[in-house]
Amino acid sequence: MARLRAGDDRALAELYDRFAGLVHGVAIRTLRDPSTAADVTQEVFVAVWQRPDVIDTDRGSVAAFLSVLARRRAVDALRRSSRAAQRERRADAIDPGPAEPTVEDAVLTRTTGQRLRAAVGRLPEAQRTAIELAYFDGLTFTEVAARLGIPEGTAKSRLRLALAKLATLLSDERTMAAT
Amino acid sequence: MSDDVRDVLDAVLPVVDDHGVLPPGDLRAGVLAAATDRRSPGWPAALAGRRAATETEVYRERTTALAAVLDGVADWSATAAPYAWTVHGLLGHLVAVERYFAAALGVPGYDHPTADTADHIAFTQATVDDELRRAPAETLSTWKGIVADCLAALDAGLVDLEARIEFHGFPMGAGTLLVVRGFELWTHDDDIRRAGGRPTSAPPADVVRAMSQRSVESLPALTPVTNATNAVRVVLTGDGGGVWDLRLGDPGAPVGDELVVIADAVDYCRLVARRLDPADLDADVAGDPAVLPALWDAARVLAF
Repeated sequence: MARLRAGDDRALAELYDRFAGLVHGVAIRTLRDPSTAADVTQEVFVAVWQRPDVIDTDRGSVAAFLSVLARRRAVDALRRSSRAAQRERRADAIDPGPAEPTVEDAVLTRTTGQRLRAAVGRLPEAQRTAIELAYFDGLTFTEVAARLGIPEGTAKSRLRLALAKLATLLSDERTMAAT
Repeated sequence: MSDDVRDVLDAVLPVVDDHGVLPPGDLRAGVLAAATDRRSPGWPAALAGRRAATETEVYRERTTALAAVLDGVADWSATAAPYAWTVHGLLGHLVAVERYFAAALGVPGYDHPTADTADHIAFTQATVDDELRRAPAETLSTWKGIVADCLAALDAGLVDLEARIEFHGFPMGAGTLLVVRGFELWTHDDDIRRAGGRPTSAPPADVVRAMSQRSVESLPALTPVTNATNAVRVVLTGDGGGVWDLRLGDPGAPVGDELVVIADAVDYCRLVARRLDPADLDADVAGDPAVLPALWDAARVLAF
């Protein structure tokens, strides 16, 4: 991140090589459209290059930040596409949306990190360790397995159990907040 | 599942599972081109839309900062390490150097010192002795007066910043001398702060950028090529840093091996000013480091 902030274009290339699949994967799953997903992927990396300071690595991994940003931008693209379809009927222009990360992006990412950290704290220890390595340290499940000295299949199932538990905890938290 | 819960899980899922989907191969070049089109490479994000300080701005900012530090000195008799002088004695040294600097720039009313200026410390000792017989407030007033004269001459356009001048036997442009002086003023600012138990400080980003840029860009002319490494990428991190691709030796020679050095911009400037030993510089290096000692020697040539 320090190299990105300094203006090292090679650092951007390295970031792309490492995370383009991740960002594009999130965009594809949200949009189901390879062309728009490619646009979102470009938008995410351009945004990070323009405002690298919005990435707060103290609050989660770079991978997690990029995932959240990709999803937010993909959702924005979906909304733009929906509006565009309506406007097309009226022959209006398409709103290109923000290029740089917005304050909302940063706040959402931080809020996500804080909520996740709180929920992770309530997981059983084995699941918690696996999720912390994956989310906060940015390790892949293969790397998590190696770090914990467990088979990859075990790491995968442990992470999946942790995700399911997290989904429950976060949904409960939302229900509690609403009541 | 609600959108906000999905947000959180989407943040985790791609990280913990193999959900990556490689984008089209030609997207990479497009992304990099679009990004560098929006923000030029080599320039720190913190200074986006701004410029580096000018040479005169570097001198003005550094003298203003040092004056503020001097105004707050509580104990003029404290030792100003690494010198044997007291803080008052160090200020006497600054008086002598500022006069010499004014003369080198051609500021009206200042003549070159009669003493041999080859030794940056020794040539100021007579002035130091004289100033120590005066009150610190008088010495401070004298130093501020010389600085005011220099700034007035610069503001009035009386100094040709492109002119070739000589300082301590080193030929350089007058504009470069202002930046070189900035390094020394920053160094003594830190020395006086340490003597008073105050924390050291760094200039604003536009000034650090101007100083690091002037120093890094001087490296090729001062660093000999001794092996296959003739390309150096210097990445200085921090708000006043940046990225420079240097060619050592003959600019027409084929590009050989590359050395990449990544360090903090403020640390680099302190190395330039001989307040940080190269061995203590926290730098990431990729490539053959054999050229590094010569590179650091070159960086410190103009530290007086």
